[in-house]
Amino acid sequence: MKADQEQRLGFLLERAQAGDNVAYEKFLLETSAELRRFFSSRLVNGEQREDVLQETLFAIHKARHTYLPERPLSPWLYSIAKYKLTDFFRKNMVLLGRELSVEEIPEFALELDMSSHKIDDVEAAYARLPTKQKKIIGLLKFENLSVKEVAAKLGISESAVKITAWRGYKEIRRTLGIKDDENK
Amino acid sequence: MMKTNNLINELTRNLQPVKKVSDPKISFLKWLSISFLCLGVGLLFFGVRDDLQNAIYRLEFSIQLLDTIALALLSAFSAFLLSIPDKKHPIIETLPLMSGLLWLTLIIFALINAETIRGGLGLNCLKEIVILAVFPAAALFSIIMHAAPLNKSKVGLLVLLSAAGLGAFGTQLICVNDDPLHVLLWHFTPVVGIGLIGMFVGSILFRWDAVRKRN
Repeated sequence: MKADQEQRLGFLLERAQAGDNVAYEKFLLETSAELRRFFSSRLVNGEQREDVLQETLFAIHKARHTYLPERPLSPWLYSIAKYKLTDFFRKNMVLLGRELSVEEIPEFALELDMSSHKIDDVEAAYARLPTKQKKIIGLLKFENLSVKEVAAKLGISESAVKITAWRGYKEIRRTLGIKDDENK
Repeated sequence: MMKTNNLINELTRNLQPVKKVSDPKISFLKWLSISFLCLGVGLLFFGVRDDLQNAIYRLEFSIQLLDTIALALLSAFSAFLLSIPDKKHPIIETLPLMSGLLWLTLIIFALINAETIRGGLGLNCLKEIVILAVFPAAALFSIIMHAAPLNKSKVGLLVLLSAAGLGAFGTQLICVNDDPLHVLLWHFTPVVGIGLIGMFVGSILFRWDAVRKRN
């Protein structure tokens, strides 16, 4: 967030604390746009992104009396946003679903128990993947596209989609220390 | 996006002014004055130990005394800092743990070097710690419940660690038994136990962001 924007939003929130609902509406609209950008790199699914955004706006509303105008707005705002994002991932225990396999690839179930893995670790593991693996897993699991749809979108074969996704899942599991459960 | 706009309309409609929380440093100082007042009353009630003037000149006693009050104050300060959403303060947040570990180290050191270990029952000490901790704990919870702590269990832990630390500080001024085993079992362990209870209490009490009902 740019310094002048932060200052402006801080001023609007301060007015809102005094009961100015016009200032508050401006604050929430501009903050929503900012938070959508923040969440877009962490949540690919648009519907989920809006859900977390709404939860965050509600939390901001409930906590607005704790904003101290003499302090910067960004740490206050983003700590609430991160808190709600973490909350969302905790409630949605299964981060990445079951993968379908081709004949030569064993079927793996990738379920991550969020109570035993910090969201930061999961995010970090996903972020470390090579671009192609990250893109394919994002399309499969966050955009909920089928293997066929991903293959068509990227102009590659379905086998290539499955093999690349399988390698990505394996890498995430390895990073998080999860043992594979291979079906024979 | 329509639902988000509806939410924004809902939140801005009938907006009421709010009373801002105080700066955490100010809240801490207010709590400190209330707590020391309560501690003073408690010490008058229970009576300080007869040998306090001599005990203070013993190095191990003085260091432990300073450390318990440091534990209490650092825990309270951290709790106040964490009671409002803000940037992290990793060094400040670690200080209560350091303080607690120092106390444990001092006790273990005394145990190793003790010529004899008596132990001794300490139910009175437990009672004193709890009684001396009640009002500071209530005051801390009362102030922080009007804030918005994000890590509720951690803040709960710090609240009760602080109050119990204050209680232990007062108890050291009352209890004449400085035997390290006694201090470990009836001063240190209750402080840790009460602190851990705080994690549970915090997760229940600090529900400022309870889930809204969706239409």
